[in-house]
Amino acid sequence: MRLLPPRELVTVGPLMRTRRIALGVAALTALASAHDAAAYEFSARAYALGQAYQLRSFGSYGRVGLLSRQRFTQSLDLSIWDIPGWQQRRLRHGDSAGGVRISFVSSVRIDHDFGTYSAGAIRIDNRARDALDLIPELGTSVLGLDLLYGYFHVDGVAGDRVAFDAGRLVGNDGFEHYSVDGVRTTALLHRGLSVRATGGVRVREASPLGFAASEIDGTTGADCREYVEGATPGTGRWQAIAPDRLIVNQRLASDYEYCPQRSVMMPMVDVAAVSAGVPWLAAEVGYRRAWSSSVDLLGDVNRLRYPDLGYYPNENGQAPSTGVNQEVAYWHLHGKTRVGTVALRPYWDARYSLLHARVDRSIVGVRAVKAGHAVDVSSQYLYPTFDGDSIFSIFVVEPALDVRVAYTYDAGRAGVLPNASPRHFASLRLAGTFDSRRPLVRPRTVRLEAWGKRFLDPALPPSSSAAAQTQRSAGGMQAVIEQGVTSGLVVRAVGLYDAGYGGRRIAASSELIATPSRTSLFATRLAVVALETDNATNTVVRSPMSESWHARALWRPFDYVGVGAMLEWNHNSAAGNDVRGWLSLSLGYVPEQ
Amino acid sequence: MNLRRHISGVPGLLAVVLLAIGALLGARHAVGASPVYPPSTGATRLIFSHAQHSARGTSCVTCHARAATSLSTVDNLLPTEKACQACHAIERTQPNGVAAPGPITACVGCHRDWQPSTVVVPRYSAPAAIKFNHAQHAQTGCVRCHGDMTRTLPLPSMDSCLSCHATPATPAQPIATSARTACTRCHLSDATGGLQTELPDGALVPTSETFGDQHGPGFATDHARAARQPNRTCGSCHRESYCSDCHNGVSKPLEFHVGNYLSVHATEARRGSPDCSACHRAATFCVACHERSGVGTRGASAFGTGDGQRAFHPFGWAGGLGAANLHAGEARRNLAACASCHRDNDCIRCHSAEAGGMRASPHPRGWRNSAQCEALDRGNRRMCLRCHVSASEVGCNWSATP
Repeated sequence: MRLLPPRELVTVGPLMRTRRIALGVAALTALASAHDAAAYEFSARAYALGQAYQLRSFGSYGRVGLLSRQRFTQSLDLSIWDIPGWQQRRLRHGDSAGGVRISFVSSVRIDHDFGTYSAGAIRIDNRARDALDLIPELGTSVLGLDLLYGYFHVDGVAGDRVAFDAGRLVGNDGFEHYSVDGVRTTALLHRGLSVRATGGVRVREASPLGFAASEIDGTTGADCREYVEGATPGTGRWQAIAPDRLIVNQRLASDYEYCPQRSVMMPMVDVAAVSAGVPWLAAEVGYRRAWSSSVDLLGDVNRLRYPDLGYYPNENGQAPSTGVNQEVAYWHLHGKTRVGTVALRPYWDARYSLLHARVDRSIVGVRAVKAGHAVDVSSQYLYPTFDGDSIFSIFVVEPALDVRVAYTYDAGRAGVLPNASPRHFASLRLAGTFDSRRPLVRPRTVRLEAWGKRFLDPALPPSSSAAAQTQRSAGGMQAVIEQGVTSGLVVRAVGLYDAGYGGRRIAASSELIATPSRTSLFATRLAVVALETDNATNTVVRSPMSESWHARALWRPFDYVGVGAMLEWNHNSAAGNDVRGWLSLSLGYVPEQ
Repeated sequence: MNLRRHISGVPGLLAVVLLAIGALLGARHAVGASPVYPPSTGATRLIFSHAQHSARGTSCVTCHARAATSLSTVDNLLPTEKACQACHAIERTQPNGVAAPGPITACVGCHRDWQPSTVVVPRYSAPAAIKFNHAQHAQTGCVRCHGDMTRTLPLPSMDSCLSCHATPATPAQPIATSARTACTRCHLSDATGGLQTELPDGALVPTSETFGDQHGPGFATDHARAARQPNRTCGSCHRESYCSDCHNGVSKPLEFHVGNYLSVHATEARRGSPDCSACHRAATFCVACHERSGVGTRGASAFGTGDGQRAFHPFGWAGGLGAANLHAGEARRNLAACASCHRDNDCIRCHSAEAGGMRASPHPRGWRNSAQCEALDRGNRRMCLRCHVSASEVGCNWSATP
């Protein structure tokens, strides 16, 4: 959800309502979690991240300019476990820990950018205008308040066979992640099969405390605002498009007329059957459908001034009352077997889009593991599909076939060093940005990866002039070697080469990672990339050589208190220098056992 | 810098890599398993042969007397010298052994490096960071978990536990609902119901292929396969916040977007690998930055079409009939890249079938009567309405030809 500057409030639109609903939800949540403070356990984590970095701007001829981004991101994760205290009561009475338990899990984030990137001005025709007025999409980063998830979790029902979730849920079918405001039920039917059912309203950018990344694919998630000219030319403002505004051009060909469709509620159901307890197979088969009402019939308002002719579409631009945004069936089959001393994990993950009447994702592969050696071979078929409201759904697109081979060697697991400990990781994770799980004593690891990608026939003659301009394939390889020098000191080297569609790259980086104790880490890395872009599609953005150096330090002075800092310098021989700095503070509380 | 000459070496290098993989797979290492205990595999300083004692008919409980009644891993079940004395007539005053028939009695018989001046310090092994009740498993039989002690690892692996305690029953739930198979049945849990992953010996990290989620090198950036598998156990250790820490779209993950990524991101974005949509949405995240940095569509910039040398798109990118229309190939290849700057009404301007449009059909060959057309027509005609608005255009049999 975007919190827009006050001047935007002049228009009563969905965002205003969104804010009111959000406040209501927040108040209800606070009330629901405020009673009986003695009964439950809770965990909380506050993560503050300050970032300052520069972005290159090519807005004018001559020297490349730099825009500053000064961002502050604050996230708060709060979980309250066993809210009524039923489990604790059972334990106090010496009963089993099983039984019904109600918990609450949530994560809220505020993201604010007050640098010139968002808050600056753009000069056009010698007039300075707010960047936000000209580029409404910047509203995503100016000030956002997002509820990433927040739900009540009930488990232990029906003899530990059923669990419920209600609230803002996150889901992932293996191909995309989504958020839904609704209910999810998971039930173990009998040994070998469980079912999962989710229903609710899919979270969109315009949802209460919603965020752009939860849109189906984003192609219909652009900002719903129009530029309204002021008293004199150039003094207008971008304003939200009111959903009850009458359509003027009688058809939805205009993006502005169509825009309110992006704010409409999108009901969604997802059901899946999942194998449970089968030792040699993990399987899941699911179905998901998301749909939405047509905007011209939004609420009680018919945005069209013309009578419904009863067929769709019609000359008046009327559409059917609903449309499907996504309808997919998906399945995952993961086997587990062994041939001699080699453990094999074959798998097939695929998705069929009923809306597009074709398989749009299919990944087949096998992972073979023997001691410290692992080989992954996979082939992925990708046919890009889009939100049902996106006209990209009917465009001719090229599917792609991706073949990948990776080999990994971990000397610690291979047993070549008799005293190698299987637990050789230092755990110092302050946040994803500083995921610093690093080996304390890792003798040597190697990862080699090669891949090839082939774009398939898009049902057009390959001799067409446009098709002849671009390469139909790409491929590359990467090697990563980590070597433990001493306890707590690891050196890593990475080499990369790829070529074909998209450009050619040769890259190398070297990194030194020191973990002098389990509560501190220091790392520094130097990376160099030589890049040659694909001339057929792009004549400008050539970056012959790009260098980057960064150093980062993490320190956890106390349990659940962590600080981190990072400095990065980037240089591009075509565009010059830029720098990036990060500071983070992580505070957490997890109850004692 | 011309990189063309490197291309010829790629197939050769690939072959070498594949050969190396094959050779290494043939190595004679035993199949790895994650030892539950002890945390360190350092060699014991005692000489002891389970095989010899077993051959003489010595039962397990003869030496490990408390094993059958132990309730917790805190119990030290290793036999003491007193247990050995039941058969070995050890006499500390006679370190070189007593002159009596029967099992060895000299100190060096078991303590290989023992010297008269050596002070033997009792070895302390920290308890395993798991929950295990030997008494509950007394009927199971030692061999079921420990295997053939004369040949295999002295302590059971997690695989042996799972031969009875099968895969957790409910997938992707923070709290497993089947107590018998829940991870927390054996592993220590915190108050949230999740596993304790920070232990005195280090972090608890999957190192075996039991669930196909071995967290080996490269796992941080290549975990999609493990995350896709049903009954995935990610939720046993990781909360949603763990995922959103990286997949948040507000900070650059250093492991994933290495170095000066902004300068080189276009290459990966155009290939669609990795999938940008895992964290970002084109019509918002990409558009905002592209517009602000001057490579968008809405304002004058250094990459406007006025200067052929600096134009973002090359000459012949888009035009009327007879033009090269290079954009068609790129759009077919990667529509998401188009959406990172353009809204769909930019496309409609030319591709609409209505008056004013150029009627340049964007549909694939054989679109009419195709299953895809029929499915989309059934599912969502709103999208059709963007270009076709008259009753005569309804359905997939419509023809633009009068």
